Amino acid sequence: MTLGSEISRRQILLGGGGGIAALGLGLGPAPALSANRTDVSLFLIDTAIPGTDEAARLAARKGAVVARFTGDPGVPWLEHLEPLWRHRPLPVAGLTFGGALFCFERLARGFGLSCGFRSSLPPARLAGSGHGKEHRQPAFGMAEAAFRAATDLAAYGQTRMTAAGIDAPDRPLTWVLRPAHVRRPRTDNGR
Amino acid sequence: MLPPGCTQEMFGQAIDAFEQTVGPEWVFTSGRDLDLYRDAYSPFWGEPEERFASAAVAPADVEQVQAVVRIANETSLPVYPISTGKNLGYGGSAPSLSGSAVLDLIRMNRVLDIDEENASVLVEPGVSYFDLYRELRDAGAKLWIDCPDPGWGSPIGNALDRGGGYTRPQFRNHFDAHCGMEVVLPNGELLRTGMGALPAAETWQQYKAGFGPWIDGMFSQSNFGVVTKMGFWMMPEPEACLIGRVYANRYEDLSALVRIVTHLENTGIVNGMPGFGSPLLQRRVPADPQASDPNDASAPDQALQDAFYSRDAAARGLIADRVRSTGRSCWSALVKFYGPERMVRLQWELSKEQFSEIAGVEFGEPEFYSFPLSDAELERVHKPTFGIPSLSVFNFGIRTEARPDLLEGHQAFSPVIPRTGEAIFEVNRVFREIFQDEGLPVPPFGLPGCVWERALMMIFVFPTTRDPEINQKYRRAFHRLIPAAAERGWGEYRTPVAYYDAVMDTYSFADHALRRFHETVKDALDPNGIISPGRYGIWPERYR
Repeated sequence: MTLGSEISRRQILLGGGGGIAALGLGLGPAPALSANRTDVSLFLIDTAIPGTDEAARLAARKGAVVARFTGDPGVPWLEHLEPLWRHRPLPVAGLTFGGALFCFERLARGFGLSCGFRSSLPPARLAGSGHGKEHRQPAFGMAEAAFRAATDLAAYGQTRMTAAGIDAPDRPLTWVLRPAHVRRPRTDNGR
Repeated sequence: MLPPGCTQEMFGQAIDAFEQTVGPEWVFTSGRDLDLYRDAYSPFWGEPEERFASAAVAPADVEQVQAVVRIANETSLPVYPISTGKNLGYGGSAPSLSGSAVLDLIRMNRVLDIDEENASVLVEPGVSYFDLYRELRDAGAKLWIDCPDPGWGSPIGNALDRGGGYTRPQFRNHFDAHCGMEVVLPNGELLRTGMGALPAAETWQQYKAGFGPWIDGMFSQSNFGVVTKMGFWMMPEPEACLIGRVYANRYEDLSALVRIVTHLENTGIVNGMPGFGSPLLQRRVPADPQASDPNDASAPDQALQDAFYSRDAAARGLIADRVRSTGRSCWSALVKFYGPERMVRLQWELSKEQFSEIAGVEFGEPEFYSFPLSDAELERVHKPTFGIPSLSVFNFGIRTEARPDLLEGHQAFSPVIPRTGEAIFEVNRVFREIFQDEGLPVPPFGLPGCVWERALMMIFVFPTTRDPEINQKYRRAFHRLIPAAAERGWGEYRTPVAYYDAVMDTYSFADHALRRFHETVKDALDPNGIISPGRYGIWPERYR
């Protein structure tokens, strides 16, 4: 599947070629950003979770840039989140496993963002490596519904936490990180 | 909560002065702001002993660091320097003395120099491994970073804590890989070490020692100053990497396996980080790109586990039977080679010759990599082995059938032990006894890390939770392990804040001469005791 606002697989894997700047989120207002500051500007998807295409389409229709990764949360951190948040601490949504959210949540704090919504999805059939081999009910539809809820909640500034945190290996999470009005040192000297 | 000797009035004076120095937007005192500096993995979580900061101050440059240190002296408010504060499992960004102000260096995040020809860099403390990777890539420099796993910390912070990585020995020992540092001393004076002390020198990142005593080590795992710049030697991208696998089938083969790997490393034939595993126990070699997901490990075969600990004839018989019935080898070793293709293939052949002294030894098909890695390789390899920072380690720790309790955080007991098979058996036996005695689940038979040359390091990972009762149990076990290990000559190479004093107590030769030396230096350099009191068990006179 190809989405207009996605970047190449190798860029995702290794981070070559511009990342977030190439998506128009580097400097100045980007088409994906609405006037509403709580709008989700970027949607991260771990491709090891199946049934996420619908959520990706929904995110793209809503104006969010979709970035996919497989397994290593360091790739979207290097390519998307840090460059984006260095410029502006905008809300970001994701459909990932708990380990990735653990990282992003802590790294987001450095830019004054926190987790405003987190919801656990049903066990999913897992693709790729690194997340087990269980075959249960896929997350079709649930991901879309969860993302819709996440973006709506982000837009209305509500906070809702439905999951107890990291859960079973085959249980994905959908989440939103958004400005928490917490001051914290961050890059300001031109890097 | 303020530290002893610092009144509310003095604290107020310090905050005012900090704000005048760095700007009010870079001084933090609200509970919500300070929560960011809490140690997410604290073994004291929610208990009175948990360490908290009273404030945080984030300078933008060296001059501001000097000014902050002088203010700390004038107001008796200790400061606790952090770089990126991601040292989870060993304290995070929480100070070693509650009430200290965190000196957050994250704004000092410039890569000051990249010298591709000389394969070195000069960085500030707020530069993370990801930042450095991005800068090297943008500069087109064919230099590899030796990064820890995860790679969200900083080269300076990790080197000063004496962390390790995964590539060649001279780079994976992160402190050894440094060349030259700049330090703000506790009185606010600025010091440069090595060739940095020679004002006109262009060799600060080329020759480590300079002239006179080489003092750099005094600023690692210490509280003698605030390091504001460090140079590092980097690994030039090799032409190729070859990863070889060795399998030994008998329980008693471990000693020979360890001995041969050590010899191959010491003679420079193996020049990447080796590792040991046990296919029979489903204990993978760390950083093995072909390893199965650790979260997939099935429930342990208790009889087999017991046999690995007991070492008697019956146990050996059971292990031999299981090797035959499962087709899995008892032990495995993984050896890595970096260099030109012709050379790494030859190194593998030479290594196989030496391993062949083990009866029945088998070799796996080697993996060969050239660079840049393909997309498929990038998806499956252990990235730090190839100089690429990663966060994939955080996929470990989730709840599984074999590990029903959620791993919310961890603390690592990590003693240095001799490089022998005997030491591996003995350390497992001793620790098992203590865990059983404490009524805790016995961890699976452990195999060591080979980060350091010449020695092995066991890493026993304990959970930290949000339940004080559980945390207390593990702390009690930890406090028993420290002296039990020390009695046998095994010492922690690094430890969480909660155990600094207990570990320092064990380095007790000649009536604690080493600690008394540390204290003498501390009192001379920092008479007011304002830099990180208690860090690594070094307390200034006013707190002793």
